[in-house]
Amino acid sequence: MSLKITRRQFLKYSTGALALAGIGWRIADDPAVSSALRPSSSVATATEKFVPTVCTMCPSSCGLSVRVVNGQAVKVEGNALHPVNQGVCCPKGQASLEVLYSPERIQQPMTRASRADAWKNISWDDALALAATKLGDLRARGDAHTLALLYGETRGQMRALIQRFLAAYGSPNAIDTSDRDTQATRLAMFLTQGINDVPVYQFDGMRYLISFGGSFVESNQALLTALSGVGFLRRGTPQRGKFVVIDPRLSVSAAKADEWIPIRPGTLGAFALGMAYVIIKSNLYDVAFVRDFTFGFDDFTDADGVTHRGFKNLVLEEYTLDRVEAITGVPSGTIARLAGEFAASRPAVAMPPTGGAALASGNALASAMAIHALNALVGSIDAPGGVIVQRYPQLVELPGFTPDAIAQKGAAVERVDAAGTRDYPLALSAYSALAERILSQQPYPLNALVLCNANPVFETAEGDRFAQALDRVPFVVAFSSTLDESAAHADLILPASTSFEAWGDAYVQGTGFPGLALSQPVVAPAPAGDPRGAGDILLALAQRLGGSVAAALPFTNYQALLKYRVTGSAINWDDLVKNGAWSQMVYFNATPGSHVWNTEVIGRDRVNAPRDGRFDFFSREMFYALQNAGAAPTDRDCLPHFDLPIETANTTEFPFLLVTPETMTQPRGWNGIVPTLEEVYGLQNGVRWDSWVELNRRAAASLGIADGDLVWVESPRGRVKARAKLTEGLWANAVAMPLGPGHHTRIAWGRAAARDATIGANPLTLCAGGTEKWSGLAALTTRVKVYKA
Amino acid sequence: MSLRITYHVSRVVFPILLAGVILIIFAVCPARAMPEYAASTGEPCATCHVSPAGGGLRNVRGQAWVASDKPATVPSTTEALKILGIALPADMSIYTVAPAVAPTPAPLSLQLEKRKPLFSALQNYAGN
Repeated sequence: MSLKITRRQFLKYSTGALALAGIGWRIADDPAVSSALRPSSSVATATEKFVPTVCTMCPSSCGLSVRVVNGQAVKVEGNALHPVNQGVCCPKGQASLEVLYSPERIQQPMTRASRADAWKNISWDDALALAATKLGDLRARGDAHTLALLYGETRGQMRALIQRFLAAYGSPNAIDTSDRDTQATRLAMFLTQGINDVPVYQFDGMRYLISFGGSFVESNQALLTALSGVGFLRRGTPQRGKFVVIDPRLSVSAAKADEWIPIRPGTLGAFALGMAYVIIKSNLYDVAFVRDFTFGFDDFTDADGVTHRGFKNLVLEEYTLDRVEAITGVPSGTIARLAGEFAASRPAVAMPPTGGAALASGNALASAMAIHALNALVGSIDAPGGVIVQRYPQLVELPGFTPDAIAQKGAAVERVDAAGTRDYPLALSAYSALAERILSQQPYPLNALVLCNANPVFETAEGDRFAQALDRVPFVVAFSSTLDESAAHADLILPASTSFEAWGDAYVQGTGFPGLALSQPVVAPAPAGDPRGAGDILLALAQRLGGSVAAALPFTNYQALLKYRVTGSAINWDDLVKNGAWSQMVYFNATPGSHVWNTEVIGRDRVNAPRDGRFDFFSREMFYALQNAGAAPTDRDCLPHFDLPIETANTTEFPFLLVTPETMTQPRGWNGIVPTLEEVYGLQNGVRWDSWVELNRRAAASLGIADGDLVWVESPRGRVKARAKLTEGLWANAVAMPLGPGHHTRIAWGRAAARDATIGANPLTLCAGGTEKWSGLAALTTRVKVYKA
Repeated sequence: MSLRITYHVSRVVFPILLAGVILIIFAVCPARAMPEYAASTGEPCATCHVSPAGGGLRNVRGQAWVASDKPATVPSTTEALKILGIALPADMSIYTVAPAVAPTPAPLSLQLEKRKPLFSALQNYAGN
């Protein structure tokens, strides 16, 4: 198309434009207008600085660089000196200032006389005095063990501080809440390799990566390392690696992979064992590595002459391809082909999931062990391009302390969640069992509960039962930034700061080499009233409790504790404050059999099993732990194996299996209060400020459901309403609802919505709470039906 | 007489705009990856960089290579540590030297002894 302008029109428009410009100049010349247009004195004298800190929007703990103008944090970018993200910042980090300035935040400590009363603001001094009095009274009457502290994501020294506080106070109940995220993979790594950590992957040199569920490029312990690693793997320099995803759903990871293998939900472990069958049957495994550096591959005889079954025979007998095909729904030819590619393309890595409840089907531990066993079969343990071990900086040890008589008595008491008992001898914690145990007052009534970055009413299945449980505890304290679903059941709320307002730290993880990052007050004073860091709160409480508790934590605040641990180590405190991160930036792979192999790569954290440099196909650690608990383990129990998911619902009435993925736009505990992330929540399907339920197109057609229809998703536990999104990228008898939505918000956020509203629906309200035998891990297998609303 | 805007857009304005956009892109995105270094040393990017894709933070080999004025060969890790004045806490042989024959594992003992409970050890792990 052409546009013709005549000479007359050109002259007319030009004259008009000049006249307008002249008017504009005259207006600007007007003293009243020009003074308004002139930069204000505050802008003219603006002071600008960039302050490094740590992101807390997901477990990756990336380094941030915050632009601060006249004391206001105005922009966040990645810290180029942090080795995990190296200057890159994901959408969650970019939006993190919305948490800092959120109108949802609690401004100062609040309490109420009873749960039925209204909240009233109190001073920090009064709040700490109230908490110290209640906890001090408990301790004085010999009931210290009836205090429990629930903690969610912790960083740096925080978990050690929590455990030291409770150890000195006299309670064994420091309860971790990661039972559907990282715990299964951590425990599998510990029981096989003897390393109590999640695995780390060396993408440089990797030739084959097979990821089992969990969408690790959306939700991972080191998200940006994984993103750049996969990008490098598939770039083809020097050799293009292959990336395969096994998942019921076409996640973002699956969409970016070379191959996506849809699988029946809850059967990832069976698929791994099917691959092991092919690798063993075809002699494709690393024979020398398996012979010299593993235990329990072949059948073996114990010290009493009893023969035990090894991994090889278990796999060959129980996981034939036709059986695995029947369990997983994946054609046996596909399993065989992938197994062949995996074994022939070394270094090859099998990656168990660390998020999205991808393993939480009642068989999580054995499945994670089966997946990790593939790495040992092909000799990828600490091989360049394989699975490596995260190392940590050597910091100065905290001063020793002697527990007093009350603390010693408390340490010997059974845990309230039964972790470490005969019920759950393999458990780090049994979070999903806790509500029922509080309600039944077994093994003892809980008198006080502290919630530290934990929201059990929202994040556990049967959260309504947890709400009832909280109401049974006489004194509940929440370290919380907002009045979330659990804080709403507390007696005392101590407003927690963000990583922009308080001193904190985070270990560099996901790189292999040691590193430490620092968070520090970026804005002062805090924009949202008077929040304090959880570490500062615990240290202040310890000082008020006095005695041996104060002696165990002789620090005025968390910054002092950090300085103590760093000063005298290889890290310079001033450089750490200035740069925001310190790291060693070199990882040495250990040769199998070397000193480092035997002490740091295999068996480093073993308790009862020997540290003999051998990867356990037959978990000796598990054998001893179960034996100690009087559980009489079978050989199969101690080997990677597969049990069918625990299901109780009627499959005819509830035909669909519920899948609960995590998305990149989900800021964990901050869901619902970060408007920018709500605006982009469904990045792939355009759903904003709401939930959705994904249905396979064929299944939806048979139900008469069209894309965009409002539907009910109903389980035996309850039902939620969501908009249907139809897709080809989902196992036919599964439905997927993302984790994260369902939070209550008190702010309208400019939406056409009520101020007090719930944004989306929480799929966990559909799940029956269950725990896995011995490990106490969450078992969430849930069947649902879907129908038009 | 008329001015043909399309002519200007296609032949004059568009190239100027494009040049402007290119200049802006280059102005706001400093070049970081230097593949010519990989070519001149014959090493992959990961030899010198933390990220295997190159660019960004340099690892110790990369830091030592720059510190020694970018020679033709990138120093090994141990050479790099020496150049940077970093003393290793132990001899590198602890990572590399292994016995020729792996020792036989001790047999599994079925004897029930009072062993340490896992629980406290599970809680006290390193890291975040």
